[in-house]
Amino acid sequence: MSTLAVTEAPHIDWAGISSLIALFGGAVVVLLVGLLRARFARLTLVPVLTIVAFAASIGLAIWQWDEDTSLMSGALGLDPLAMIGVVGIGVAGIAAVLLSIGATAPREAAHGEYHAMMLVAAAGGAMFVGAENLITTFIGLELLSIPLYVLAATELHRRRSLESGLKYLIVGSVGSATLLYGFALIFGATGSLDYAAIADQVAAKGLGDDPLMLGGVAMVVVGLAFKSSVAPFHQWTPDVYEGAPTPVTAFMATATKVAALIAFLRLFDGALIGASDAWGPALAALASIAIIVGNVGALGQSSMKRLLAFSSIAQAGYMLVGVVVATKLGVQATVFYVLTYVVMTAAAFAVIEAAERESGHDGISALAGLGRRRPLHAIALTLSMLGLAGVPATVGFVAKLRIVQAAVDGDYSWLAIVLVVGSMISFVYYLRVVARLWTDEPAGVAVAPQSQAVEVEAPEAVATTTAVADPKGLPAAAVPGGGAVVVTGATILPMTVLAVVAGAAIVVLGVIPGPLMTVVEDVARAVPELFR
Amino acid sequence: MTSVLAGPLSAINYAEPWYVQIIKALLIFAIGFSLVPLVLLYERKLLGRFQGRPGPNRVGIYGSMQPLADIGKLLFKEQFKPRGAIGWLFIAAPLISMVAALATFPLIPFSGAPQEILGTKVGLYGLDSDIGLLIFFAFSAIGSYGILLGGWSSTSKYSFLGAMRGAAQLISYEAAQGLALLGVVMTTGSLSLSEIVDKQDHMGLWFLVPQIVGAFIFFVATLAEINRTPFDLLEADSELVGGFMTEYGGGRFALYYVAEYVHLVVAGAMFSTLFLGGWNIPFWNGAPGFLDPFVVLAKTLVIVSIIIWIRATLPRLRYDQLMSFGWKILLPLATLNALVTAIVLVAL
Amino acid sequence: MDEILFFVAGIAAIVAAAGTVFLRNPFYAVLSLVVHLLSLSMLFLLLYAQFVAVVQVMVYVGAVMVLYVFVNAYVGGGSEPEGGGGPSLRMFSYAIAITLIVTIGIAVLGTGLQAIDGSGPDDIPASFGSPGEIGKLLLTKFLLPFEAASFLLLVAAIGAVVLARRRRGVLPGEERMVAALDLLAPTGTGSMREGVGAINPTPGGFSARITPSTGAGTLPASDDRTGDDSEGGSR
Repeated sequence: MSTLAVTEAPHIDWAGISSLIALFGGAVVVLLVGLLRARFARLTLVPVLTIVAFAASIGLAIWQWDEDTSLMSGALGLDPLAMIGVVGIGVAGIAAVLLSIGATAPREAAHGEYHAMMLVAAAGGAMFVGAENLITTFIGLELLSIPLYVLAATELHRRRSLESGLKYLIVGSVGSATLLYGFALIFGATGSLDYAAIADQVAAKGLGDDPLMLGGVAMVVVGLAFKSSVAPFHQWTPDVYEGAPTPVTAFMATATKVAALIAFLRLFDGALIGASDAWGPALAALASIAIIVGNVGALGQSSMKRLLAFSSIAQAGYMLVGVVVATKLGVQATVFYVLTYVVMTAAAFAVIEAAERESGHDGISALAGLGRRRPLHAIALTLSMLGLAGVPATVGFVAKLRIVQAAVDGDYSWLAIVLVVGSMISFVYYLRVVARLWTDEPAGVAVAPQSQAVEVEAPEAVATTTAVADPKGLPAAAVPGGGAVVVTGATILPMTVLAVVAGAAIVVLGVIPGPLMTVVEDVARAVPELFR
Repeated sequence: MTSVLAGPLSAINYAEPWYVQIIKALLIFAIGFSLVPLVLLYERKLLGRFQGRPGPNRVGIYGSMQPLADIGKLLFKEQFKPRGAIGWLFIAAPLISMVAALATFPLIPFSGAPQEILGTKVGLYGLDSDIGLLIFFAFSAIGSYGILLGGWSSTSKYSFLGAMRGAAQLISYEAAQGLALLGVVMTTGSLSLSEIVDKQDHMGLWFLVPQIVGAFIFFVATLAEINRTPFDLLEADSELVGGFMTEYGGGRFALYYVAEYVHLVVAGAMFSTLFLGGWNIPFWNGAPGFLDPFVVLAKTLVIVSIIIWIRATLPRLRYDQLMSFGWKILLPLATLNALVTAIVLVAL
Repeated sequence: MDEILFFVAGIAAIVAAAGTVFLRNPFYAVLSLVVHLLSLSMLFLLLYAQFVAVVQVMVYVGAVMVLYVFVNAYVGGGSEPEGGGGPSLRMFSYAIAITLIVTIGIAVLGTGLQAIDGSGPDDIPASFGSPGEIGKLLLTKFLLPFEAASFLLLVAAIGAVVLARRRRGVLPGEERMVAALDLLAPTGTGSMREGVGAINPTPGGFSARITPSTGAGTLPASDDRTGDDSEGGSR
């Protein structure tokens, strides 16, 4: 059978893609372990293995930190920007796995499948942040999105969850399709799929004002804006965040944001830098709209998940500012902000998940008097809220400062002003949460008034809750007429651990931001197009 | 596979003069249509023998005119349409079936080297594309719309059930059918049907031997694709009256009927091309070229006989058996076959 | 010949795509999409991409769209789908659509029209668009996306299973899969005491749940207690 056509296989740098392989391999292992019948394997081994996979991926990414090449025929970049993305996604993944311990969603989806999907989504994110080629970008994006569509709907018996999954699927598909169309137009204009080659073509042929190129860029902007929930393409965010199981929401909010923003950086400040005259003002407009819409929208929210959804829209706006200015400083500021955003959001979601398990809903009222009941949680959430608002001595302040600095430095002072004004508005709702934590009296178990569980319909409040039989044998807290059910045996420890660690990180990094900043300095290596 | 004509259509060998193309097209059409009554008669006779009766023996000598009488009867019957039927779809559906069935016929190569006919070199095939196998699958995929639309537009519950069963069955078995051929395609290194036969020629071994598993899967899946027993659930006359064609009569029914027999012939010919060495005669290398088409037809006849034999022997599958057989046995087996073939090919 | 085919296929593609959007009956909309995909495959053929053209027919027309037709025929019902969203949302969607059309219009008119007069590239190698060439690309330049795409399919399949799996008797807080040792039912199982929820028949699980409407406790489905592993069967 010597007639077989022999083709030279591409060189594969196994060390370079090791962090990606850790995630993919972890997904397969976790999926198979999840099929074991022993409870121990499914309930303990699966989450542990998932965390190991995430940690391995983080470790391998740090190991490959000093590399500066591209892998697999230029499909994937191996540089600090990609690696920091992997680290951010890994941290988000670990946080989400911790939140999933004892949650309903993994039980509904079966543990193996649930965690495998999370790992595959993270692998997709890792591809997305490292992509140096339009095909890899798109595949990475889909790999990130499709598991999330499913994960959002895993609590199938809860209508909200199903609705959330469906909405995310439809909006996500629209975003993907728009992005793909944009890629096609860019490919048509430049005749190339590689980022570097696109940048060369744009520079060489002066495609900065070519209609095909601009059409493509416009559609890419819209597609990515859908994905990173930048207003006015944000409508899906609150509903999806609220409906999805909280651990999934946490993963969605953090990992997706890291991936989308770094992809923004790589694509716009890298491949499309030549057309920055065209997309700069457009992105600036989007950023300012996002800041305003997000912050104003968050004002009236009584569901914590919705509030964080709107807050994430605003934060996406802040982060976009660093992309808009297209300077080295901007890139560093955005990456720094994304990382701190992961930490702050993880802390918030940890507390919300814990409160949701105790009270059955995620309304702000569930947090009332938390300062007395669970001081550690209350402190962590306070730090997170202050950090998201940008109060000095938290890491959020440093991040915001750097973004403002980058904006002023990059001649986008008006954007800096919008950012500051937006931050001021945001104080209202962030502080409202903090006030609720510390001032209100403990509302007592199971007394969540109907009026405050507004976003949660009565049957759903029950469905999300794990109702256990109390020691005396009768079903606990069987409140007639529905309403919140308080659970005494819910697992809270992982949430506490996460909240404490993340809360500590907020303060420590806020006081001593130096090391993280030094690390982030490195990422500028990844976008050489900025310095031609 | 080099071609004189440049352009997108060069991939499908268009090297012959235009009049040869047209004559060939007409000829293929004629042969395809004249095979139908022959096979029809053959099936009825053979079925009769299997069941211990003579089969049709009144019309013509030895019943030889029976199919013509049948077709004549159908054509002169009244064309009718259920009141609720969706007009244009109801009319178009049998046509789709017919066209998709006939379109696969030209793909079958009846001879190796182009034959010298009246001083012109003519390849004995309608179309020798380098993706011939894929075109075959594409047209059989389009063919499923004939069944689906026919059943749906009849607005009759029997038709509808038959059509829905058909859709599920065709999709399920198409996957196994395609995967089963991966072994053949990998060994040959081409999707061109004539190259597949050439390869068997060079190896001196029909693919039936090394690809016995693939051949088995392909054969079974093909039975399902052309809706023959034991996979004839979409007509299932004992439960669904006539399945998707319950409401069809006269000429339109004849179209479905003819399409079914064209499918049968194409299935036989395709199997002999892929696994039985096409025009290759065993142990006789220097066979004259004019024998080639007859060799192909003979092998086709063998396969058709086996299919008829199966029809006379096996009972119909239940729907859930059909589905689990397709997805849980055939598809994994086909995948495994492809995997093993790949390993063997690389190892050798 | 090429030109005629191009215009036939192009016009058919546009008309069918418009039909997909504007036809009120979902079944016809799907059929229109089928016609659109067939026209597209013809366009691919004209672009020297025979393999893509045929795969388009096989995969989209032959498999994906058959499922669309299948589902539509079953549940379509011929009734018009509900137009959700308020007027503001509708205005927003119109605005998006118009922006999209304008963007693509500018892009296409700015460059695409020049292509009609051109004769296309002359130096297309004979193997362009052949299965062999595409296979070579997939295994060299696009190896990573190719492998990742297989993971994409895997995870989509897993997701479909997760969403479509029958959740027989699954209740919040209840583990359905039980280990072999758990099959020994605790004492008192089947007695009156269990009937009122006092005994937990699934060790490690939870004995009762609260039904939303009445708050009354109900027992988990009995097959869980007897150890009939329903989850294993539904996988």
